[in-house]
Amino acid sequence: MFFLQVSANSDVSKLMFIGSVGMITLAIGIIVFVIMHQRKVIRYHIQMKQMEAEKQQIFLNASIRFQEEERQRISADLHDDAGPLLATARLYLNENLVNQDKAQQLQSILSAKQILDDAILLIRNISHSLMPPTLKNFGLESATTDLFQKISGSGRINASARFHDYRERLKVEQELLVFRVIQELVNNIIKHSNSAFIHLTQNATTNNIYIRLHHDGKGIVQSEFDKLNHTSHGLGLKNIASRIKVLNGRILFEIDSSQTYYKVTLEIPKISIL
Amino acid sequence: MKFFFLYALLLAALVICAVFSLFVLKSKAYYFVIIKLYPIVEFTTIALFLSQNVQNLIIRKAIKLIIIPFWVFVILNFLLSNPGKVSNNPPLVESLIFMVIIIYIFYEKMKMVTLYPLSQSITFWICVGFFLYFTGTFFFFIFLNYTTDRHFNSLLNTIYSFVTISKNIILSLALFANEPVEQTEEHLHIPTDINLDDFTFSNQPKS
Repeated sequence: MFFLQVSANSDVSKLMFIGSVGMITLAIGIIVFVIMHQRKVIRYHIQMKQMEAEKQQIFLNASIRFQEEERQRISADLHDDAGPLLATARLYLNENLVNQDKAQQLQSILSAKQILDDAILLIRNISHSLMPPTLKNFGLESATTDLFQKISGSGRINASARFHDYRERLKVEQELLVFRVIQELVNNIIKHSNSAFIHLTQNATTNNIYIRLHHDGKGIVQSEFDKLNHTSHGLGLKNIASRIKVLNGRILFEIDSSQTYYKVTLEIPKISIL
Repeated sequence: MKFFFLYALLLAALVICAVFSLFVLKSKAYYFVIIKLYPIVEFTTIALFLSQNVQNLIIRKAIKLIIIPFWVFVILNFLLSNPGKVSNNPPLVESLIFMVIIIYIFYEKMKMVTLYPLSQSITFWICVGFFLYFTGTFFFFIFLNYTTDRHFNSLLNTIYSFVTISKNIILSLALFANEPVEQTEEHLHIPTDINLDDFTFSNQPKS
């Protein structure tokens, strides 16, 4: 203040006026900068969202391509395996069969029967890989229990499933999606986690169905899932995420507070949007 | 919104008390007491409001904690300063503290609000109003007791009035801002009353 006191009043007035105007200008400058910069940030986020949408489109295309490849594989299976089998059976059962002696006829019929049995088995396997019959006929609970029994039966891993409240079945389309998610999660646990057990628990509230998988191997938490979901790796996890999205459900990856096992929880609304 | 009405109420109370002491009680001593202690109320209210707009928990706590030393400072200043004069130190310190806090809030908002423009936010405009007020009155408070020159004091009052009116207009206009609700990502909230952990670590499902 000392330097001000030696100046004349008019100089101080000027200083005070310029100082105040300068401060206000500076404040307005800061405010304008904040508004403009934040708009830039919003534009950047919109661009990011567009990129994300493009990425989703790429995934969708990849998924469609994958579906086409799967169809081609089934078509190839039918053409290369079932086709020749049926053609061979036809050869055995040709018009000359009536001209053959009885022993030869019997032999041809037995061979054709064997080939037809193989063809039936082959077609059944292809069909089962597309839609598990247990799931279609008996529902998610039976299909999941069946899957876990098969896994446990391999002796490699101890797997168990328990459904507490599954009186109201989901729609078949929902059940199939949930089953595929469980299959993918279980596959990932078996392939990557090196765990000794997997346990599945199901329960329900009025509006939602909850399914929780526990395992004692190396797992991931939600942040890692979100991260993997945004990279080019982890197609299986992306499939899980997209199926959950179709179900309008949610998924949570976490580690138990005791840090001894991992949990994956699915929340599926009972009301179907499919 | 609550803050706005509280602040308006405090301003009205200040004006009523000041007018009452000056024109009814005809006592300048009461007037100076009110004017000198008002920064405590103002600082507390604005600091609490601003702390609610800070995301960083440490800084939020620091803003709340700074209220107590400021009270001590104002009371000491009240006891030690000339009783017949308005002291400029508490408003100066208040201005400096709030300028820094508001700049930090702007910085945080720039980083965090990404879904809608800040110009649609009520709290942003309240901060803008206070920022202009504290920056504009900074030099006013520096020169408050500098001289008794009539022209100089008239200029001081003009600047102060201009900045105060601008602040009040901005605060009033802030009420008309159409603040959108920021949509946060939905997280999974698992009900606590359902059993999803029916096994013990020894791998035996509980009955």
